[in-house]
Amino acid sequence: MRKLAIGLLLTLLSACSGKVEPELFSSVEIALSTPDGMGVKSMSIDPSLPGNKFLNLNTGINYPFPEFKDGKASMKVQKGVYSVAFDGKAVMEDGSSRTLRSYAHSDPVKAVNLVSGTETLVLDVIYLF
Amino acid sequence: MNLLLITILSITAAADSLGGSASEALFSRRKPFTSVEAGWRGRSEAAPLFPEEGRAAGKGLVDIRTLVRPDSTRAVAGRVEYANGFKHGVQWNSSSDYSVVYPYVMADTLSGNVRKESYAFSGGYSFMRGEWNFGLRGSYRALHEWREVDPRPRNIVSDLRADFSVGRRISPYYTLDANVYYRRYAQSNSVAYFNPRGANTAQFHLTGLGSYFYRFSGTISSYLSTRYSGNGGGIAINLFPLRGKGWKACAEYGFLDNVHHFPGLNEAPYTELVTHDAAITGSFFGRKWSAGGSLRAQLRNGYEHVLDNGIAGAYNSLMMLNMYSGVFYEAALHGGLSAGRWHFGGEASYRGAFEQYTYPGRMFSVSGVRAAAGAAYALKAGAWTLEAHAKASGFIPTSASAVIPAKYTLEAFQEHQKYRLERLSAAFAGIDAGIMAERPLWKSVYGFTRAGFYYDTLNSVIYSITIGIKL
Repeated sequence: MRKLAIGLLLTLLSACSGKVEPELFSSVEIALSTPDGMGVKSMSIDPSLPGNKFLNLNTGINYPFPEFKDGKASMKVQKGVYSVAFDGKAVMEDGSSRTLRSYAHSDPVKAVNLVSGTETLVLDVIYLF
Repeated sequence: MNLLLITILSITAAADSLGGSASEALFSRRKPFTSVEAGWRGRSEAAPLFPEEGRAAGKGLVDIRTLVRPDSTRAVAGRVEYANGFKHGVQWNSSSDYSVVYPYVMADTLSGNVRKESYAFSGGYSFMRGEWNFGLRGSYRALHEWREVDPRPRNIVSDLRADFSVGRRISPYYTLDANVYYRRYAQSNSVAYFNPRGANTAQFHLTGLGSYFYRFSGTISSYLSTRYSGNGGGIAINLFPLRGKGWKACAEYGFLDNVHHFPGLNEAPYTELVTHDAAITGSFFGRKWSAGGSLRAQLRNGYEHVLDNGIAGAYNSLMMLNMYSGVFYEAALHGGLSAGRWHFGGEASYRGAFEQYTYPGRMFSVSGVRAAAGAAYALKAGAWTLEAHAKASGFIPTSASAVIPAKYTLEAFQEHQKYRLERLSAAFAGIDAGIMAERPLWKSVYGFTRAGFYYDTLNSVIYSITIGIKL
């Protein structure tokens, strides 16, 4: 009877219409996918350029991209729905310098859901020049 | 009960509160009566306590109340109120019922004037059967607020409550009573721009302490039409004295779960506010004196829905994140003493608020002590019954702090939070005075008039005038 009463009290205190997520953040592993499969040795993305965004659609917080090493990077963001786009300066595995563009998730209707504790995000890039 | 509205309208100490019960009319200390009154209430603040409710307000009202005792075991009570008025200089709020829906209001950075019209009906029936008592009560409130210049909010509130109580005499002097209630709350809140050239004032969906729902803020019409849908309930345990004197006590809990939707986006929910209220009050009423105390607390938990990209035309909620929480509390003592034609009263309370927003971290905290003391004098002069009262009050802050990250907060929102902190922690002293005059008109019909005035050191003024008849 006591457990029932405590359970009812806790239910009432947290009463709401849907599932409440206890953990606020998602750890995201980002991987780059090039058109010809060539590896990306390193890449940096200038956060001051307006088109570069890892934008939480709900909060409007735009997270700066981390440095990419061997085509990968990781970051921790608030769980949510994200619009992602960038032009990045990359050094390819053959030593050449390229500018890479990702735009597949730039439009909000193509935003990605990052709602789990850990997420893997593969971003297709194209070569600008 | 809403602690957020640390109101300066509390002209008299709430020493005679019976708690929430559908049977309270049965145990009322008042004699049966019917009154019809009309009046005007006004407020003007140089530095408004809540700019979200305007720097000035006024309303004319008609208030009809009745308490009928067919016999000693039955009571019927009813009330009808109509009010029509305005609020001037409303800032940071395009919604209605600010105290109910805070922090989830729609707002812009301008200020404006709002017209308002409201209706309220309530009625209850209670009776005794042997040692048991039962009561039923219903109440309904409707509110309409609107603005006649762009941006034009138009809000309609519907607030329905039903109470049921059952109690039992536990001694020759006291009855123990339990009351449960259900509450249904609804508000439609929309902002329109009749002149397309005026559609350059963005509306923000505020989410607490300077944060806002970035995604749906702006001027797109489907984002500016919202509705609140709430369900709530509660329970109160009351101790009533049967002979007008003795102890009165109440322990009560209530909650309201209010979901905020976009009707134009397939009813997508985007915020949800769950409010919990708890209070314990106790008073002792002697022949010529009274004393009591109360503890009140309110917890607000705010949740933000993560809506998907809406590519299918329907915005589905993926999850809810608990982003906002607020605790509002008050501990109070009060007392009164009657000596001949004089009545003296005093009250003191410690009250405060602590709010936080999860990420990016925000915090807001204020607390302080309020005290008041006053006196009233009544006399009969021929056919007239006259009463005058005066009370001095003051508020002294004991703590005030806020953390609002500038990097993630628009400058206008930073200024808003700074003003809140300064105003809610400002010390002030005030005085209010009032008179009441009553005389028989014919047979058992009396005419009365009341007037009241309040002024404080922050240049806030509240005034009221009422005329009416009762029998």
